[in-house]
Amino acid sequence: MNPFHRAWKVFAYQMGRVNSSPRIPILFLIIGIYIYSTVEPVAYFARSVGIASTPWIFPHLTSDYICQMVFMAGVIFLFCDAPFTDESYSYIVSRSGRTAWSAGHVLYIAAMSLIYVFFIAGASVLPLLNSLQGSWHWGKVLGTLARTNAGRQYGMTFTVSNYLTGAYSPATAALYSFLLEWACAAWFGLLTYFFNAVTHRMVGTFLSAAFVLLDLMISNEWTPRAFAFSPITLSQLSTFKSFKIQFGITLSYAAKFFIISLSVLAALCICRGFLTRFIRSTRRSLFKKQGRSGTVNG
Amino acid sequence: MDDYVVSVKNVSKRFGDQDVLKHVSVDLERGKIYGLIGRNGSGKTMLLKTICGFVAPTEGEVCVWGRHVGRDVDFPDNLGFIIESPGFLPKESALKNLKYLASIKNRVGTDRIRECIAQVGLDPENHKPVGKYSLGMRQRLGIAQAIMENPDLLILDEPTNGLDNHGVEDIRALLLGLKKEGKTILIASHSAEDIAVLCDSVYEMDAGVLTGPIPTDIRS
Repeated sequence: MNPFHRAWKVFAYQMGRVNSSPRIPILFLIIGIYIYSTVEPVAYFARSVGIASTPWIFPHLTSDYICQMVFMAGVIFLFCDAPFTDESYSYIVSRSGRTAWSAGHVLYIAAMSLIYVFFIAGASVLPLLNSLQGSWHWGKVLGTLARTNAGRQYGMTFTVSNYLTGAYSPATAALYSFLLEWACAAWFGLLTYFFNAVTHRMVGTFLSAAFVLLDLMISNEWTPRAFAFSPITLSQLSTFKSFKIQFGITLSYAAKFFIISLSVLAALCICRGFLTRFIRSTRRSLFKKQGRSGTVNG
Repeated sequence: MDDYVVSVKNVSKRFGDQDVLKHVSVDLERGKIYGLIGRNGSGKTMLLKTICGFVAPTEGEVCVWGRHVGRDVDFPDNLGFIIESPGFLPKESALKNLKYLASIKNRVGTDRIRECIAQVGLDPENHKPVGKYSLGMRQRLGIAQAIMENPDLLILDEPTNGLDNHGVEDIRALLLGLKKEGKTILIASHSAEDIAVLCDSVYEMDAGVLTGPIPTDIRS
């Protein structure tokens, strides 16, 4: 049977499990409440000045480092049970094989990350529904919030980036932000999956948590060069400016970083079975050389 | 080695300092039902998992259908099993759950799945979600998933666990019928009656050491 078919079936089964887990609706509820409370002051400001806001909040939210940490903490919560070996594991993997099983879960991580980012993008518009106008421009409300400190008076806790409103059209910023956010979420999912699977412990979950905090740690203590390896930093569109550019941190660099690292992580996840077999055969041959009896498979 | 359906040679499994399986060797022939008895924690389930390919032995080798498990194949083909509690999608019906699982290999159609669900005493047209099934119903469904792809080797850990008397009788009749079809079945069970009624040959596991076949009088 075609391994792609099997991987697809594993993916479909895993997606079927989504609605049986209370963890996922709880996560979406928490993130939804967080986004609502974060964006609500913009709606309040728009109502106060009597001008409707455009819906282009998403690129600004994902360019705010605190929002990004919260969103990616959500991703860790989403994938913390990787490599998803519950009581159905043996019944599926014995039919699909390990490689197709891993490939199916790589697809699952990509799909759930996409859904999660769609949710963030959608939820960022909801608080503005009562004072919303459709436009391909940033609009007066976001423009004012970007250029002045008016937002603080209305209790805004995130920054509407003046750089974004000047350097990008709203649609371009939204598209780039969406792709970066998706890549970043999938990056954390794959990292969690791979290390949890290899170590049989929650090492991947803790490693991802460390990477979530990396942006903050670099800002406080470390050399700015380390921003080049911080996915949270690289997924913020407003980061590709000022002093970070001198360290080679550009949108093009971020795209390369995510494409290469996601490809490597996905390959590692899928080929985990081959790696395990290689380690086994190496250990077997080592034992034979040492003259030990029997065959070592574990 | 190829004469046997399953050939376990000198298998040991160690977790740290603890030996869970100690130099276990056993060969299973085609068309027989084998019983595996032993106390809780004696290593029965570990041996079944090792044969199925879920646990790699620290030492020794397992061959199923002449193919080395872990080297030639990750998991033996032509094998159905139920080990510990079977996992299903709790919000889906029995039929939909088995269709999901069967679609991975895509070897059997819906009619065969319906037939297997009926064979274990469940109603294939029942749309009740599996999450609302009793332990016994889940067990029956687990057996249905083990047999639905018509494997020639069945490995069943406590197959009558949670079943009422009728259910036990149904499953025993089903397994004896499968034996007549030439299937090889390995059953781990605490039920002396199951072992006495079903098995041609019985082995005992004690602290990771396998002994047997045990004489009939000891079985009872």
